[in-house]
Amino acid sequence: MAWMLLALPCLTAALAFGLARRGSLAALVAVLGSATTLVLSVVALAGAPTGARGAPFAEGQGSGPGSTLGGIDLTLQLSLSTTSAFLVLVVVLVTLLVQTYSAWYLADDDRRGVFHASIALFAAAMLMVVLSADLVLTVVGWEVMGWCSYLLIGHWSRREAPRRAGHTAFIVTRIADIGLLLGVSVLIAGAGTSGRAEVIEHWTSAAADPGTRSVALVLVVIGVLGKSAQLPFHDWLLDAMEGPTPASALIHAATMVAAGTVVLAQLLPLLLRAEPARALLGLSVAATMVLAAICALVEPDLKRLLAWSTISQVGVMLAPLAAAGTGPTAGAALGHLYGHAIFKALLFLTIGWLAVTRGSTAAGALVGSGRSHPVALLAWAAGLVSLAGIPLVLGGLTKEHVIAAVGEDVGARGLVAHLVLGSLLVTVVLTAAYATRALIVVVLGGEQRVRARAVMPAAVSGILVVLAVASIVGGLALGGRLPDAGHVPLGLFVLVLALVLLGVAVGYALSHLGVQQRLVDGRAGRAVGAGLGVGTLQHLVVVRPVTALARLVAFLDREVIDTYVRAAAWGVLGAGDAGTTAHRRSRPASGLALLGGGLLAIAVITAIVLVGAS
Amino acid sequence: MSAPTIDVLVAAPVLAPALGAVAALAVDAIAPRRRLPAPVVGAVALTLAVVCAVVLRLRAHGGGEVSTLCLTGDPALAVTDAPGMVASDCLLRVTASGALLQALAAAAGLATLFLLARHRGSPPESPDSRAGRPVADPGVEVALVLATVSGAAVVAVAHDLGTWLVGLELATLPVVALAVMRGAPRDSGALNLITTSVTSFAIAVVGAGLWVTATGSLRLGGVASWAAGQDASMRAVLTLGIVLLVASVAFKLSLIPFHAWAPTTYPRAGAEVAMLLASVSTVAALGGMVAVVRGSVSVHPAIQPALSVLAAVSMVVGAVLALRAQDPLRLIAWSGVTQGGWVLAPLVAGDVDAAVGYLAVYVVAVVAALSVVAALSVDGPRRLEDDRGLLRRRPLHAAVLGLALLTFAGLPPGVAGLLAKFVVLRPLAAQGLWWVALPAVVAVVIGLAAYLRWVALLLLPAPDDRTPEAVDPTATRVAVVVGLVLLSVTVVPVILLGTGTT
Repeated sequence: MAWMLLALPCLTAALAFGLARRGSLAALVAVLGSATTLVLSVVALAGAPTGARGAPFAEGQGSGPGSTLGGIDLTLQLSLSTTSAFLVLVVVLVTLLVQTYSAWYLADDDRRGVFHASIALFAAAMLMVVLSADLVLTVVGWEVMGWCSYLLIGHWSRREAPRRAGHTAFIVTRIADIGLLLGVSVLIAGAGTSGRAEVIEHWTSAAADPGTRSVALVLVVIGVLGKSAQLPFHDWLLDAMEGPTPASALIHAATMVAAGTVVLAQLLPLLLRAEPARALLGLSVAATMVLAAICALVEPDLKRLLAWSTISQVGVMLAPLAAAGTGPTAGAALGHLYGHAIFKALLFLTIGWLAVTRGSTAAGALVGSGRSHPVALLAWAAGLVSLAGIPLVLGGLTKEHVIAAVGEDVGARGLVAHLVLGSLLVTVVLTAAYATRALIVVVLGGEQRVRARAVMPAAVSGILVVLAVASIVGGLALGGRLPDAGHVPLGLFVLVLALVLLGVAVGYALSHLGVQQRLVDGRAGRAVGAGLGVGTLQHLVVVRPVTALARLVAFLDREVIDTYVRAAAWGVLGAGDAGTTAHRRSRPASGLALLGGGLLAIAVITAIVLVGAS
Repeated sequence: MSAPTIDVLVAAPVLAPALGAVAALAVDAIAPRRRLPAPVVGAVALTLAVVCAVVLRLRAHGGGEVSTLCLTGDPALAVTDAPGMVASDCLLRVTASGALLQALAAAAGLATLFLLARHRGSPPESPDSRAGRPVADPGVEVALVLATVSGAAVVAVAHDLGTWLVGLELATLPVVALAVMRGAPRDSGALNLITTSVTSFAIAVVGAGLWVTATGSLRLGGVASWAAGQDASMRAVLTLGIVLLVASVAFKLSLIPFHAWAPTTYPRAGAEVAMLLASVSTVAALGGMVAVVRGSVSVHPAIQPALSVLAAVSMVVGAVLALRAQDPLRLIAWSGVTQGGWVLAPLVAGDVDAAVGYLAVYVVAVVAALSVVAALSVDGPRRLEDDRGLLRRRPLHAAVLGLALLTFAGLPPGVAGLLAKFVVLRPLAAQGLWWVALPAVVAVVIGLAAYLRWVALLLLPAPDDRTPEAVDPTATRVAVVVGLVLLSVTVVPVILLGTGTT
């Protein structure tokens, strides 16, 4: 079943790629393939076994071809549990909606077939990460996802900016991947097998060296920070806004940035025993979620605002993994993954439509655009409500679980946990504030700019309605499918409610008093618009030294080492020329002379040997 | 001493071409200057020889020996008993590798026969005009090819000096005649060939004399030289004799410094004769060399350095000069020099099967390459530069040629060539003969450059849109058939290289 779930999107990708020349046919195949996968994943969810407590991904029940390579036992297994089947369902649902939406969004694109194929492959890679019970398969899925993100972000490759954004995304995540690859290699080498169950068993046993385990987990966390766009790797996600909006929806919602959460949740028993790795993760997410939320408040471009919001929310998603106790950790993190996937997909797909009506994603251009269609208005509002974390809606529910998980017994877990909890509470306020800002910009203001009602295809409005409903009442689907996420005490519920209301008030006040406008137009807005200059910093710290080093190596290679190579080539060619010249004038007599000389030579050699032997 | 009996099947690879040669001449005498009958007779004889050789290879499979023409109690073959070796009194003793050599000689002869029987042969490289080339008599040509094959088949299974010498000459002199008839009118390159050949024969005769002096027997084998190898005074005589015999065969294998004829004769005699030289004549040379090396078991350490030097120098120098060759036939001539070194290399370690296997792959590849060259050389001799962009103009020819060249170079997809080189290097490495193995590796690298230069020309786009050149249909058919054989060898190398590669 697990392999079929993986094979179907792969087949869809292959078919769509084969039909890439005929765009609409490829789109049809992609949508049908995704729909079939969705049906299959519902069936899978119904029949999936519940993972044991502490192993929600049911590593022990995998199936796959095992083999042995270089003394390492490669199990290459996929496993299906309620948890993984639910995550698969979320991924496939978002993929289906994005495929359908893309069929409309890219209707005039001559390379749309390739886009559909890339999305299908991207989803397949994410499914592989989710279903994998084997670290090698996890890495394979992880890498394929990185490659597909490059293709999707750089889809409009005829323009310079998307090409550059694709390169940035690929290279930044690839640099962070060095950490993941090294970490996974250490884990596999230590356990002598790539099966996750065996790896966890080995590294949690008394025989494992805690130092090595911590180093391996720190390396894995570095890889996760890169893929999840946490500080200091966050800028690729902002550049990625150059890609088509459906691709952004997919990357931000259910796949790429969430992959790190899935991998860490799968490795949770190890992570809980590696305090340095948790500390690193905690520091990064605590800083990221607050900073990104502030940036979202002053970002002049609404699509980039959503990107900042993703960075911040992924930080929230990772927070329990970094700072919660052993109980509801995975449940809280995966729960917020689900909630975030739904409302972020909704927000991106909505803004994609809004931007088409206005021709730009800048906040200035989108003022009042929400009033041009009731479905857009409803969708945007539902998404933002969920994002802001209004209690009882999906986003609020999962966020409360995160805060409850981190807050439980926080006193017992040291400084970093306190820091993460503090950041979470601040982020709740800031999130509500920028959500309010986004709502106000799109819904209110600019009376004169609202034109006649824009056209929205039925499919698009259907997608938006489905997602909007899900992001309000999606919490009902949670019960029992994901690992236990704990419960929210009443006091905390009230506190969060108060903070959200405070945030809404702050957002409204900022906007109403005109401070918001000055912030956005001022220096802060420009700095945030430029990604806080991290791109420039990376250029100075990483790119220039590396290129300088590369130039030095190239110089050494060309001028020093190549000299020997060229000298050898010249020597051989010169000898060849000399020989050719010598043979050009050969006469039978010279051949005879050579023959005589050769005879003499081998006779002499043999004579020397004979004399030497006797 | 009883009258010897002859097993026709065992002698068939030798007898069929020999009788075919006589029959071809007879047919030509009855119906003079008819193009068809003589080649048909020749083709039938050669096909028969191939089939019988394959049957013999299967019968001799597993290290056995099939022998005939036994002269029991002949005083000329009398030897002192050697420990662990059984003397056989038979003149023709077919081993599995000997049968493979016979099959190769006959099959390559068949390919050459088809090329020679074409209406219009490929004109040789000539300093003056092509006019006035003597029109060869088909019957004579067929008889000459069959005689060469017959000689090669004899040498491959000969175990006494008389048969060995006759076979070696039989495999050489008809080629000289063909080179004269087919070659350029003023300088056919045959003069070079015949002077070297005659001198070599003289050396071989002296070597044979020394051998008989030392061993007191005409038998050419380890069992005969064993007694002489134990005696200090006879040892020197025996060694000198063996060195002379090696030198005389080294000429046929075009090993440096006995190679001078090859780069002159190949281009001037034309593709057909070059094919005969590169395949049948080389098979005869290896057969002769194997017999000598087998006979030198008792003094092997003494002649090993001489063999090593010949092999190493030939491999490297041949590859270096192939790098600078400007026309296909000269490149193949120098390539023959380097491949001769490769064939000799395993004999340094005493591994006959590796040498025969390597030669088998080489012969198939060189016949494929030369039939493509022959097919393309309708309008006169070609230069390498003429093949630029051949893949687009003549994909079939370029594919066969490319596969043959990659097999020479030992580069996938020419897997057979790669495995052949592996088979050669394995005994060298196993016995620690690094002074042969390391030059071999250097030769591989230089050879890559030499052959890939040609392969690259095939693939590169031609600067102008040339019209596809005219090709000869018969030579193309030969090229396709040999190309298919090469392809099957590439896929199933066990056919030629034996079980050592699995």
